[in-house]
Amino acid sequence: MSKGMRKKIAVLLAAVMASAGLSACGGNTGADGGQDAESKTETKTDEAKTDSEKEGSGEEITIRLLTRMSGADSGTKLKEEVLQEFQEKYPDITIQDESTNDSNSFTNQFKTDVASGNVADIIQWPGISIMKEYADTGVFLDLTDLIAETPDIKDNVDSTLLDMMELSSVGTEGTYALPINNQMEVFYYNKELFQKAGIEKAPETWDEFYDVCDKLKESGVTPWVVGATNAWRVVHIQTGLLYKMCGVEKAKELGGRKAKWTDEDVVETIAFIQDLADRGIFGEDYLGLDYETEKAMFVSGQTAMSFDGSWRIAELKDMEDNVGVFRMPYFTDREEFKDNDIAYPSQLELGGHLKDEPEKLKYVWELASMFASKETQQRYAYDCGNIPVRNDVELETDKMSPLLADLLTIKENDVKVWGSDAWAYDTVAVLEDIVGEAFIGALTGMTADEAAEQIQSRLEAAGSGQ
Amino acid sequence: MERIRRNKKAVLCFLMPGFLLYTVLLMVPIGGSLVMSFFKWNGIKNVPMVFVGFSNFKAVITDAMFWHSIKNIMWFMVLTLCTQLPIGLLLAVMLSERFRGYRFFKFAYFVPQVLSTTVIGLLWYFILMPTGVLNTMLQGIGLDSLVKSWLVDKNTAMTTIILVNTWCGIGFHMTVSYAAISGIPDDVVEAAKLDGAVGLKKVFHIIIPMIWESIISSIVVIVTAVLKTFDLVYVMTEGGPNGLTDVPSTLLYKEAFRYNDFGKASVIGVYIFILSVIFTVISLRITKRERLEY
Repeated sequence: MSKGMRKKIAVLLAAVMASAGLSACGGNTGADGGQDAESKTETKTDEAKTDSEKEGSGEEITIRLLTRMSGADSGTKLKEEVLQEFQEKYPDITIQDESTNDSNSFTNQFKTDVASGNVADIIQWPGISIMKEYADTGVFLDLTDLIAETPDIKDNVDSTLLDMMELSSVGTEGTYALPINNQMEVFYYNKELFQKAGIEKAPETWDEFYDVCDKLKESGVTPWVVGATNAWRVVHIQTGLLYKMCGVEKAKELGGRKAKWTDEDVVETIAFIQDLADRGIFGEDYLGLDYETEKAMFVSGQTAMSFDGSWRIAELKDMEDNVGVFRMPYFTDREEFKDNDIAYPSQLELGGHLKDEPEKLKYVWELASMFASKETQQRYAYDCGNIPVRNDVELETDKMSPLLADLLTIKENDVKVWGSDAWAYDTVAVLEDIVGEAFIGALTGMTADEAAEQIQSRLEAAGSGQ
Repeated sequence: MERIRRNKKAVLCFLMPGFLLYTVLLMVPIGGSLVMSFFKWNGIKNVPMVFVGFSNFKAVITDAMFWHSIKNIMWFMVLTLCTQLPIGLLLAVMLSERFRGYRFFKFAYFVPQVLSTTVIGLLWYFILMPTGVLNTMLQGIGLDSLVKSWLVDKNTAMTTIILVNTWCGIGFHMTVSYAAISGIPDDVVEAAKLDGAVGLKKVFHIIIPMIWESIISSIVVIVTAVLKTFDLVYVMTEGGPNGLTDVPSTLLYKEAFRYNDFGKASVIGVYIFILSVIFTVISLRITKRERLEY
């Protein structure tokens, strides 16, 4: 072999080595998605044939679940109990639980399933309008008829939540998800730190909030640490601000493209977050901290407040006597939006392939419905601190967390208009990432206008398929 | 043995399994990726791919984020070449003196190479976070002014990741260079010593010229490895904040798995492939030198 030829082969091989790494990389991330090994359970009993097999075609039924209820998620224990209950009823049905708590792993797993046409039977896909793409392409099943045929769901699940799952507002007829829990987002505060700083009552307006922060800083405590490494922490704050400044309708207008992210009032919300950061309310190093650290700092008393969902209640069990809650403060010059607040419903979708498997669908729907049953919802509230999605759940105050009791009081008395994530009203599935990146950009040097412009231009590019 | 080598069928039999695996697992996906770069596809199986010609290529090449990621990867390559290889070589030269306990150091320097990149990424993420060991240490010795968010600050984020990558890779290049140095005949070293080639003279006039082939290999390995860097960046920053530490492969991942644009993701893959060919040729050209026979 000539020297020149040898060199050419060497160059080619080296180049292939580099690209090989890439092809392998894509494959790996998609294939296993860093799945939580502990949550990967497969249960099956070889007992005598029972109803499902007698009624069915005799073929074994395997139900695949892909949810976020795994590992540290507050719903993990409950999910396991529901699965166990279902398994006791139908011992010959195999449950293949591929749930993973990590959002990246979950997304990778789901998208790989979608790309390969192997979608799970029950999925816990977040967001509402972004379901449209998957609804239109048959990835998710239209549950309208199933809900209508199930009086327990139709009559008792909160109709506002069921309406939220209906996609006609974005041009797709049908209800594509079953709500299984509802989360409010509020400020949790450390009562002892407030007391030490001489704060007598929780703030209701932003002016009061600033006073509280000043007093906390004087007492040597960082008022409100935000784990901004996880961009969604900032996105949630902006959503709360948007509702207090412009009302929930504004988010719907943004989603329906009747408003723009570059609108003055939306830009104002971004500038407001920048101002909070400039005032030192988030502390010095918040940009390098993640959600887990943020939570740890609240528990250890290094920060006095945390703005978070009701999913946090279960984690605060050990210190719940020292924790209080208050709603995101309102703006005195915009009192009309005082009663607008955030609620994040979480829902289950069914795989679109089930429409061709009516026998299996029956069992899958039964399992999904169990998550929204009266009993499960009651346990959800007692064990996980979740707000029930049903209207017929009676809760005893002494059995639930005092924090949940406070939230339910707020829900009952103060909140009139609920809104989900601002990005959830848009059909562009990647808006959450676009928004998150721009907000972090705004906190690391961009102006509020530049950040808004970045969101709008990327959103338009994504929407037009550029 | 010679008889087997002459038997073409036997040779083919031995080569075929490897060739088939190579083709199915590497060449086919690369080909598929190239084809997909001409289509628009959102990653949903029952949604047909739409042929869009070169528009994905145009979209990527006009995207400021892509050029930012290219800038990052260039800085990554330059800094890695300037740190990983010289430090690895220096350690190899020191270890080749075979001082007492050199085996321990050889092992210690190689350990990061054995650890998975995810483990290393997480380890350094916790060391470098604002409340992490590094900042605590700096505060402890009174260097409060140096305390910062290493992975967020625009002046330090990318460089910090590159230096962590350097830390992981030094062991490999040290081992390669050490093996090459061990292969230099003793009589050559002795003769050089008699001629007064000691210390740096020995390194620059004897060792480096005689292990030049292995240095070239190391350069090619660094160039190709840097271009496919993904895991370390992804674990430590996910390319953030706001794309500050994005490299082409994290951008590729985001296009595919976050933005559901598999066509654009494939184009980025194609560009990485082209870049790797170009840089491999350049590095081989630059390092071209007559091989020393001894």
